[in-house]
Amino acid sequence: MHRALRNLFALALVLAGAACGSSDPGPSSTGSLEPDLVREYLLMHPEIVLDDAEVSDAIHKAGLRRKQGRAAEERRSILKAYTDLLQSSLTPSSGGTDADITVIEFYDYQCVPCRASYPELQQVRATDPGIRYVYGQLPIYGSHSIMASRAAIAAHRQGLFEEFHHALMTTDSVLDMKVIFAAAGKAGLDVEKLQADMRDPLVHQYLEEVRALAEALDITGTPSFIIGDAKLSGGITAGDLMSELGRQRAQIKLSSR
Amino acid sequence: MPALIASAALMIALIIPGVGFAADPDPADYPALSTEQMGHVRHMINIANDLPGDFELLGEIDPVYYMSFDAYQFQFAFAHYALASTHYHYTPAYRDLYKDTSAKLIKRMIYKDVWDYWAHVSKFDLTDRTETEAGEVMVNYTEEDWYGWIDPNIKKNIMYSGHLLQMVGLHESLFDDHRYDEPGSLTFRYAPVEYGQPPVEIKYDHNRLTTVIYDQFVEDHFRGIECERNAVYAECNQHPILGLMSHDLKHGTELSGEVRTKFKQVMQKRNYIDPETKSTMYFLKVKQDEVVPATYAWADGWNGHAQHVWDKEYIESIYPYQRERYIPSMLKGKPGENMGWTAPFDFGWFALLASEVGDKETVQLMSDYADANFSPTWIDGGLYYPFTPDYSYNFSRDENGLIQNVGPVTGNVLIGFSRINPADGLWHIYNRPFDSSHFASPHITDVDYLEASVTQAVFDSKKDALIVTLVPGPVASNNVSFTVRQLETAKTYELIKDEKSLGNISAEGQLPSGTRWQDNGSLLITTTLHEQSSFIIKAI
Repeated sequence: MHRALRNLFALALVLAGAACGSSDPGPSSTGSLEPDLVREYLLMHPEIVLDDAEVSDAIHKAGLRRKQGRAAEERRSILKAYTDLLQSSLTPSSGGTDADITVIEFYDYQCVPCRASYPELQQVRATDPGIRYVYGQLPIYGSHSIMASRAAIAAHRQGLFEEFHHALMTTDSVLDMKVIFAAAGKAGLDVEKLQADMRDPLVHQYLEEVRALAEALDITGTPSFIIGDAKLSGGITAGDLMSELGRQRAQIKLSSR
Repeated sequence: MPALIASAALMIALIIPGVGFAADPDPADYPALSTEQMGHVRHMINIANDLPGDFELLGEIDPVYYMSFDAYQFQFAFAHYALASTHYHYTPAYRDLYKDTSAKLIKRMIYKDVWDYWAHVSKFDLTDRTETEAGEVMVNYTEEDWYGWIDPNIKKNIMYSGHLLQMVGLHESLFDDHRYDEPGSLTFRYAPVEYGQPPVEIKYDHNRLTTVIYDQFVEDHFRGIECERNAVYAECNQHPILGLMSHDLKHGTELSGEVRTKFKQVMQKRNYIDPETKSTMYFLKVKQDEVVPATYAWADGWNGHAQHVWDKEYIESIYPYQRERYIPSMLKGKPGENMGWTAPFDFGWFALLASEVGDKETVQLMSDYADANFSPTWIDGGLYYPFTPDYSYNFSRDENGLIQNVGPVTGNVLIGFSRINPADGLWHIYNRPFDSSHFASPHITDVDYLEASVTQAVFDSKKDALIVTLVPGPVASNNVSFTVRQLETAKTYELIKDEKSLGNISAEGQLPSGTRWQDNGSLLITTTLHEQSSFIIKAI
């Protein structure tokens, strides 16, 4: 009897703990149990929480959900503040504007996990028309990475970003200016115009703003992904991405009810 | 007869294009960064450019104390001071790169992983600890006395807040940039995700930070503000003093004089620097009211280089004793000998003091030693000495009797700083600060940092000439450009590249090839740069 009661309290606590989650009905739906009574009882018997592994675990998970909820909320607000940047004509993206989920990849052309993830991401982009994929330049591996990101934005100005991106992501050579310009040539770009655009202060300013977005989102390395309002760090597989997309869509469905 | 020859030379110089005028400023007469110095500068700028949460080159946080003598805050702060010295002495007429980098380093300082150690460290008295037989240090928590602060500035922790104040003060005085006067410009965001608490924002600005620190000096009767609980370190208190000097300069306050005078009185009365050994104390135990004496090269170097700014004669009077004590034994000893736990950072801080007091011979000796033994490494145009994997626990000499372990603060910052910093380097910044004429004078901007390094940029007001030297950066480029600002439109200037006159520059006349006026009145110069090139733009 005592154990059943404890589990019941645990349930109430979990529900109370998770109350901040957007899809959570909140503590008022604990059926016949009054939240105030549950609270009062727990204040009198806090050892229930301390001694019971199941309860502890439930509390931990509820706490985690709350933290994730807060972090996701903060990310949504940051993304909203950067809407102009994400919709900027300098921002390379694929997929329709009517897509239900936006994925932002922060990457560096010299980052090994970024390159390893590239074919996986391509696979998802090819099979899921419901995502808008935004390419966030985050050059963190030095001068040639910065030059490559400038070149990528310059390539986007010529409407050949995807071709240039593919050429750089699949090259076997160590990145330097020769490799960057060779990739540009391979992608069919006007290299002279590309070089001029790479010097354009607007391009430099744009890259600073992308960096500011990454910092606001507390991105600490590449690749990092913002998928809807979730953040994933490190190289990912197509499966990882699809499963997060599934979670995000389920969340959208739930919140639209 | 000599007068006739001089007149003839003058005529030739004026008449024949391409022949430099004898009185042209000579770039060799002005300070310029060497290849190695420029490498150190670029490494520190590269660190500033890393993402705020990227600490890959900076070592690891100590698992017991959550901070150490190699803590991130010290690396950012000393990189900031090193770049301040670089800008002041070598590139005062090139501001935007140093100003942006200064702001980036301040931004890195207020990233949570740099300062949130205080939420932990503020809970215990670091002086109250025991060592086990195995040599492990155990911190003794006293439960009834537990308390801690999230706010890294509000009380004690001058080992953080003092640096932040110095950095912000330097930023304002070197660049006449008042951004940190804005309320909330130094906002600390406490991470709720990690700590399970609601979000907290702690808002500071230059004035509030100054007030909080000055008030603590007063409350503590000028005996110095605690770094950790119950421990006052002399060197930690030097940085807020320098910060107060900058605040006085730009805000018209009179705070630093009082603090310097009274702190010095306490230092003398309590023997913070022992008159016998001429060495800086380890720390003052506040509750026990007990000075713990020591003879540490790092403490003398750290305290001395900063105190030298406001107590030059005294520091220079004790320096020879300190040098004699540390340098010979630091550089050569018995193979396998244990050098003690301070070895990975003794070297760097003492080298810095040697540079500040102008002991060029010792700086050269130590730089050469570092180059020979500390694995100098170039990455992306930057030069540094990578920290050794066991820097925090292996202090023995190698088989040749040499230092074998280098900590991150020494390798990333301090050796480079000492190599860059000229005699009285910091002294000049604080005692001969830039005035309004400096900020109104011609200077260059918009040099692509990837394509070119500026090794000197000086405006010589007596000769009314701007002297600039560029070297190629890590990215190969056919052409580089830079912008010259604040030239006087009423004047005509001559543009000289590598001793060859390229022509005259005036508001009306024809411009030399590769130059053009921009809409905002600045002059854009585009040039090839395959090797070092010097430019002189002088009024005629």
